[in-house]
Amino acid sequence: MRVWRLPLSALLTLFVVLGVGNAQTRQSGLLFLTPQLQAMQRDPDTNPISLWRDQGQALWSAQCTGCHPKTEAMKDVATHYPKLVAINGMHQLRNLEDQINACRQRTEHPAKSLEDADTLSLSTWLHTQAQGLPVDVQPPTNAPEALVAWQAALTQGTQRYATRLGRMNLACVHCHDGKVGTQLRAEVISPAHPTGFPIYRLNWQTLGSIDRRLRACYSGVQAQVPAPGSAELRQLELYLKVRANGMPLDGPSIRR
Amino acid sequence: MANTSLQIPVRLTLAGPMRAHSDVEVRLMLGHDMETGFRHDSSGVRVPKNILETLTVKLNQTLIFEATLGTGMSANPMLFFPLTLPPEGGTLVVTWMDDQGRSGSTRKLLVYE
Amino acid sequence: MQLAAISASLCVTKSAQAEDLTQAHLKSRGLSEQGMTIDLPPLSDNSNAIPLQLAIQAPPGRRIQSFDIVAPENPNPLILRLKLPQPQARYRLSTRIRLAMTQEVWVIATLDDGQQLGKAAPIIVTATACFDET
Repeated sequence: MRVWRLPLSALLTLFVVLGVGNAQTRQSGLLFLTPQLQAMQRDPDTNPISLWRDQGQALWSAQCTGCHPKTEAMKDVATHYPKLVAINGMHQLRNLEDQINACRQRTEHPAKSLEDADTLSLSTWLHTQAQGLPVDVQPPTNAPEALVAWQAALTQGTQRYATRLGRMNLACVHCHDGKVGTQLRAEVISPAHPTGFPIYRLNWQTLGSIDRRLRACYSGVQAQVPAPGSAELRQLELYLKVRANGMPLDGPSIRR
Repeated sequence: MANTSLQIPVRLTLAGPMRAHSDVEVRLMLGHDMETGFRHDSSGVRVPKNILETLTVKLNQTLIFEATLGTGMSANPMLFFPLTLPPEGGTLVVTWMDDQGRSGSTRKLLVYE
Repeated sequence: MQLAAISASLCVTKSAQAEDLTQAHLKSRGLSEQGMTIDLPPLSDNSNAIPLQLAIQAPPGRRIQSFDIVAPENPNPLILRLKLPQPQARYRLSTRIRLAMTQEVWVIATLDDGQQLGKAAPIIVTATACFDET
C-alpha cells in the first residue's frame, strides 16, 4: 500500500482536505466532560461564563456598534477565524481575539494582551452568537498569493500537529488521535476539536483563549512555550479549525 | 482607610414564584479571582492574596446574612440560598468587601407577579 | 483529667483564631449530625471548583444562628462562616469550594442556644496531570 509511505503530515493534509470523518463522527470536547460539569455549563446561574457573556454584551453595545451597527450580521463571525490578513505586505493569520484587539486599537480602549478581560468578554459574546453554527474556515479567494500563503500556513500547522516536541517527545497526534478517551489523571483526552472556545478552565480558575490553551499544551509536554500570538500557534489553530470544519460551535465552555 | 469602590461583575437572579410570602432561591455569582496568595506566576513570583472577605445580603433594611469568605471559596464565588419574599416587596442589596477594605454593592428590585 | 477540663473550656471560646479546626479535634467533639445534610461528590476531578450543597434542619424549638464550612486539611481551614441575624428553623446553601487535598469537609452549625451540630463528608480530590505554566 504505497500511500502509507507518505509522511504522516502529508497524510493528515490529505485527510483534512478530503474532509475525512464527517461532522457526525467527530466528537466535541463537551462529550468528554462529566455530567456534573456539563450541567454546570448548561445552567447560566451556575456557569461562571455568564459573567463574561454579560460583560461582552454590554461592551458590544457600548463600544462596537458604532462600526458594527447590524449585530445580526456579526452572528457567524466566530466561525470563520483564523483569517489571513495582509499587514505591510506581509501575510499573517489572525484569530478572533487578535481581530478584537486590532479593532480595539482604533478605540479609546486598546487591549494589551489576548487574555485581556474585555477582549475575552467580547470573544465570549461573539462565540455565543455563533453557537450551533458550523466551523467554516475557508482559504482566501481574493488573491493568488494570499491563497499560497494560507496553504503554506495550513501545511505548517499540519506538520506541527504531527511533530514530536518537548521533554516528553510527544506530538499532538499521539494523544489527540491515538489516545482519545484515555485519562491523564483526572483529564480525559478528547480529539481536540476547537469547537468550545473560549473556555473557563477550572485549572486556570478563569476564562482563557485558544491561544492560551495551545500554549498550555506545549507546557504539558514540557516544551518551550511559544509567546502569545506566535505564528506557529496560529498555524496550529488553522489546522485544527480546518480539521473541525462542519462541526457546530458549542462554546464557550467549561473545561477542567 | 479610604473605602474605595470595588466594582465587579455580578449575576443575581431569583428562582421561584415572585409573590408575597413565597420561598425563593437567590442565585448569586460574583466575578472575582479570589487570589489565595499561595499561587506563583510563571516567573516564580508569588501572586499576592486578594479575596472578597465579607458579604452581606439585605432585604429592604433587614440583614439577611453576613458571611465571611476564606481562601477556600472558589474563584468567582457562587452562593445559592433561600429567601422568603416579604409582602411589601422591596429591594435586595448585596454588598461585598475585599481583604483590603475595598467594597461595592449591587441591588435588585423585587418585581412581583 | 485536668487537661480534659482545660481543653473543654478552650472549646467554649468561639473566636476563629482560637478554634481548633483540625480533623482529630472535630471528630473528637462527637457533634450530633441530626438534621444536617451535605451533598459533596465522593471524588472530584479538580481541586478548584468543587460543588457543595448543605441543608440544616434545626431540632424542634431551636433555630440556626450561624454555620461554618470547614476543610481541616486546607491551609486556611475556615472556608465560609455565615451568620443569620434572623435565626432560621431551616437553611440551605449551594456553593463551590477549593480543597487542597483529599479530606473530610465539615459543616458546623450553631443554634440559638449555643449548641452545635456537625457533619462531615469525605471526598477524594484528584487533579489533571499536565503542568500548565500559562
